[in-house]
Amino acid sequence: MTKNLSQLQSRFKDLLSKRYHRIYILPTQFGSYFILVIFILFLMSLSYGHSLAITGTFLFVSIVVMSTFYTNYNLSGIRFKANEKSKTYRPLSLFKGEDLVLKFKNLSKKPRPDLRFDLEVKRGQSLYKISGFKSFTKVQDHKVVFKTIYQNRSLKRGVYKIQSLKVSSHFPFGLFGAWSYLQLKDRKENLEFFLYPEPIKPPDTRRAYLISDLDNESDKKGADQKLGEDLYENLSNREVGDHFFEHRLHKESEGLRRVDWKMYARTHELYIKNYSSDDQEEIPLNERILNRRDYQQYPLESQLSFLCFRVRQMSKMDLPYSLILDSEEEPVWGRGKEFEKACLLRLCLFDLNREGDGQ
Amino acid sequence: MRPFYKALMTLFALSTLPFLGQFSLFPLVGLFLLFLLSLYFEKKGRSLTKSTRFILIFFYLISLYFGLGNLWSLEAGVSFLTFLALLKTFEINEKRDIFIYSLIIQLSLVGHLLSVEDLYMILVLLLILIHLFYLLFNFHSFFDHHRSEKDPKNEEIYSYRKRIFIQILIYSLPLATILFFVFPRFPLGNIFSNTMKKENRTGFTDKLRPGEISEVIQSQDTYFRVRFEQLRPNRANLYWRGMVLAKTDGFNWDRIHLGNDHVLDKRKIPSKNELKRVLYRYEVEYEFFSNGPLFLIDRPYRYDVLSRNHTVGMGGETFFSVAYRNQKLRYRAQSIRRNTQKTIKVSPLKTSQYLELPILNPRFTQWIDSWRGEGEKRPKLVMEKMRSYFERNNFKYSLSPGIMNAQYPLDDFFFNKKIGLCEHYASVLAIALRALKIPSRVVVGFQGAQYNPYGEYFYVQGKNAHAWVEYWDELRGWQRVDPTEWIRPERIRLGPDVYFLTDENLESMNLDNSLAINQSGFLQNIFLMADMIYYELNREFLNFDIEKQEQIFDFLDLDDKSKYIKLFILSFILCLLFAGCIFFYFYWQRRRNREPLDEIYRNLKVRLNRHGIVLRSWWGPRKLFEEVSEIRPELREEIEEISKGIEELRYQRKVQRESVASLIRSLERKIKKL
Repeated sequence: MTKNLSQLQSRFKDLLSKRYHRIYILPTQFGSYFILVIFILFLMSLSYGHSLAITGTFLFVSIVVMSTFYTNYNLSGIRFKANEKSKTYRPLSLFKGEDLVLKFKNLSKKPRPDLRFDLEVKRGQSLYKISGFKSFTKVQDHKVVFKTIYQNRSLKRGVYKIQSLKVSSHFPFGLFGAWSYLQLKDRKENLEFFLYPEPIKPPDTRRAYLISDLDNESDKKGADQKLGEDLYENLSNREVGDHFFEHRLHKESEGLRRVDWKMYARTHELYIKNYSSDDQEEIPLNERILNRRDYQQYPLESQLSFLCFRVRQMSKMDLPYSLILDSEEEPVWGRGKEFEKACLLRLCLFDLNREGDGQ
Repeated sequence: MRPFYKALMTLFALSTLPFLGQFSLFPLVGLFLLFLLSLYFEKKGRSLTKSTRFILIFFYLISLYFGLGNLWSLEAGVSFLTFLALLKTFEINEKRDIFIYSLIIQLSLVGHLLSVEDLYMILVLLLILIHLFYLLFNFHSFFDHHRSEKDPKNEEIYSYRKRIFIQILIYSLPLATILFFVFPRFPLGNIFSNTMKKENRTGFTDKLRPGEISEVIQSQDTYFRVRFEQLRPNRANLYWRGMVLAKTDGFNWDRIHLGNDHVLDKRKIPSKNELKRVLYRYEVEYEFFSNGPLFLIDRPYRYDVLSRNHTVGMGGETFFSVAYRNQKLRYRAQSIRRNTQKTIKVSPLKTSQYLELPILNPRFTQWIDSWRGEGEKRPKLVMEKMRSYFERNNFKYSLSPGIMNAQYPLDDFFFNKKIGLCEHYASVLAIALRALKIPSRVVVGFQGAQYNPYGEYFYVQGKNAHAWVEYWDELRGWQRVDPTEWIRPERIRLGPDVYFLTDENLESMNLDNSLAINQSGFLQNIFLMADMIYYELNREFLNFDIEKQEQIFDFLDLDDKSKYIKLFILSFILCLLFAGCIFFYFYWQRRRNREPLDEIYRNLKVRLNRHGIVLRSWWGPRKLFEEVSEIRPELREEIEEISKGIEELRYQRKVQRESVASLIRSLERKIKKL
C-alpha cells in the first residue's frame, strides 16, 4: 500500500514537473481597462434594463472569456526543441552588446502564434532577465520556428547559464497575458554562453591599425567608447574594408566566410577576396604583444575591451600575436581562429572573482 | 494611406453611422468636418499638433453645448467620445494608440447602445464587435513589419489565426445566449439614470388646433401594438385616451393641470371573478422611443410600466411617460368596461375649470341662446340638438377641411364651411356643452386599431388618431360622446381606412364585416406576417426581463425572496457546464495535436513505471530495448517488438499513412499489454 502510494506520489510529481507547465494568466493593462468598460456597460445596462445593452455586455463578456481560453490554449502543452541549425546547440559566445539570437522549433502540431520568449540567465549566484526585443515566426519544414533576438547590453562579461525560458503570449486580442516557465535542465552543454568584453577601439590610434575608411570617421580627440562601438559595428557588419583589392588563394586554416563563391563557380578553385585595407600595413612584432599594462590608466573593463578589440583586429589580419594579462606572464604567440577564441575566453574569465559580480 | 487607417475608419463608420440620428446638428457638422480633415491629413501624411488638437476639442465642446444645451448628458458624452475617436486617427503611430482608439470606440458604444433599442441594432452590434475584435486581433501586424505571417510561406500560421478568430466568435455566441436568458436581471435601481430631453413623437401636443391632427392621420407609422388577455373590446369601443384638454379659447383647446375626477373604489369590486368580467387586460408596446402620453383604453383602471420610464399623472386619468433613456415604452394596463360603471365612485368635481368659456363667436352665441332655456344642464338634449343640426345641414367629414376664418373660426366652421375633422366636431360639441353649463372637455388619442390575425394582436397607426368629448354626468361621472359617430359612423365601425375610400367604394362594402378593409390583398398578408415576426422578436428579445425569466424558469419555484439567488446559481451552473464543454474540447484538441510518437512514449513511460523502470527521454528504441531487457528480462519479447515498431515509425521515412496508423495502433495495444 505504502509502495503504491509513494509510486503514485512520484508519478504525480512527475506529472507536474515534466509533462505540464503551470500557466499564469492575467489581464494586460489594456485588458484591465477593457474589462472595466465592460463592467460599466454591465451596470448601465442592468440599471436601464436595456436588453440591447445587456446583449452587448454579454457578447463582450463571452468574447473576452473565450479569448482567455485561447490565451491558455496557445501555451498549453507547449514543447520546444532548440533549432539544430542555430547556435543553441553549442555553448554560445558573443560579445557584450551583441544580440543573442535563439531559435526554437515548435514540437506540437498546431502553430503557436504571437509567442514571446524571455530568458532567465544565471551568472554566479545572480539571476538576470533578458527580454526578447524582436521575434520572428516562420514555418520551416512544416514546423513553426521561433527566432528571438535578445539585447544583452545590461549584462556583464562572464559565463552565463540559461536558467529558464519564459514563454508568454498575448494571443489573441492582447487582453490577457499568459506566461509559463520552461525549465531547461536536461541539456547543460547547450545552456551556457560566454559573454566576451565589448570590443572598444583603444584610445591610442598608433596601436589600432584600423581600416582606412573607418579611420577617417573616427574622432581622434576622444569619444573612445563611441568609436569602439562604431568600429565594432562596422567590423561585425562588414569585417573588411570597403574596396575590393584582389583575389588570393584560400589557405587551409582559413574559414569559408570570405570565400568568393562566384569565383568558385567559375574556376572551381577557392579564392579569398582581399580588400584594400587587409594587408595595408605590416605591424611591428613588438606591437603585436597585446599587454594589459599598456592601458593600465583605464579601468579593468575598459582595458579588457581594448584588448578584445585588438585581438579581433589581429586575428582578422591573420598576424601572429600574443596576449598578456598578467605582468608575470610569458608571451605565448599564436594566430588563427582557435587562438583568438582562447584569447577571448581568457578576457572573458579574467579576474572574475576580483571583479566580483562584474561591476 | 496607412494599412490600418482603413480598418480604423471602417470601425468608426460602423460605430457612428447607424446612430447618426442621435447626434444634434452642430456636433454632427463638426464630426463631418473633422472626418474630411482626417482623410486629407492621412493622404498628405501629416499629423495635427497638440495645440491644434486642443483648439479643435474646445470648439467641438462649444458646438456640443449649443447643439444639446448641456455637456453633462449621456448624448454629449457619446458625441464627445465619437469626436475623440476621430481625433485619435490623426496620431496613431504605435500599438498603444490602437488600444486607446479601441477603448474610446468601446466607451462610445456603451452610450450608443443605451440610445437606441431596435432589433436591427443587434446586427449592427455584431458587426461592430467583429470589427473591433478583428482590429485587436490584427493590430500587431500593422506595426510589426518583421512579422511575416502574411508571407505565403507562412500561410499555415495565417490561416490558423483566422480560424481561431472565427472560432472565438462562434463559441462566444452560446455563452452570450446563456447569460442573456439566465443571468438574473438584478434591479439595480436607476443608478445612472437621468431623464432625456426628448420630443413627444406621438403627434399630439398640449394643444389642439382643429385641422392639425390630419397630419397624424395621414401618417402610416405604427405607434404601438397591443395584445389583450381574454376580454377584447370591439372596435367601436377602442378609445385610447392620450390627453385631456380642458382650456379653450372658443375654438382651440389647451391642456391644463387637472385633478383626477374618477377614482375606482376597489372595495366595491367583490371578487376576482367579477374583475375578470369587467376588466380589459392588455399589454402595450410602443414602436418609437420618446417621451409621450400613455394611451389607455377608456376607462383606465390601473397600469404598470414595464420599461424604465417614469410616469407623471396629468389629471383626468391621463399619464405622461418620461424615458430615462431611449427605450421603447412598455406597460401592462387594465381598463374597465364602460357598461360596468356602477363600480365607479364619483368624486366631487371642481366644475369651474370645465365650464370656463371665453366670449363666443357672435353667430354661435345667438344660436345657442335660442334654446338656452330648455337645454341648460341637460346634456342629452344638447347632444340631440347638435346631432340633428349636423344631420340637417349635411356636415361633411374630410381630411382637408381648409383653414377657418381667423376672427370667427367657430362660426365659419359651424355656419359656413360645414366640413371638418373629428377635432372640429369635438371642439364645437364641447363648447356647446359648456355654453349650456354642462362641464365638458376634449380628449385626444386614438380610436380603433388594426388587427393582426397571425400574431393575434392589434396595432395602432397614425390614421387611428382621434378626438372626442367627455361631459360630466352628475350620477355617472365623465361620459364619452363622439360626435364623429354622427357624421361618419363608418369611421368608428370600420376603422380609419374609410378616410382613404371614396363614398362609392364605401357603399359597396359590407359594413358589418369590420375586418374586410384590413385583410385584403396578398401584400397585406405579407406585411402582417412580417409585422408579427417583428413584434414577437421584440417581445421575446428586447422586452426580455425578470418576469419573462421567471416564466421560463417557473419550475425553479422562483419566489420573490430567492429568485435572484436561484437564477444566479443557475446561470453559474450553466456557464460552468459551458466552460466544461470548452475545456474538454480543448483537451481533446490538445490530445489530437500531440505527435503520435510522443503519445506512445508517454504511454510507454507510464506502463514501464508500473514495472519499476524509469524511461529516460534520451533513450532511443535500441537503448530502450537494451535497458528494459536488462532490468526486466521477462519483458524482452514485448519490448523488442515495441522498440522495432518505434524504430520503424521514427526512422523509416517512406511509411504510408495507413501503415503508420496501423503501426501506432499495434504499438498502443502492445504497450497496454505490458
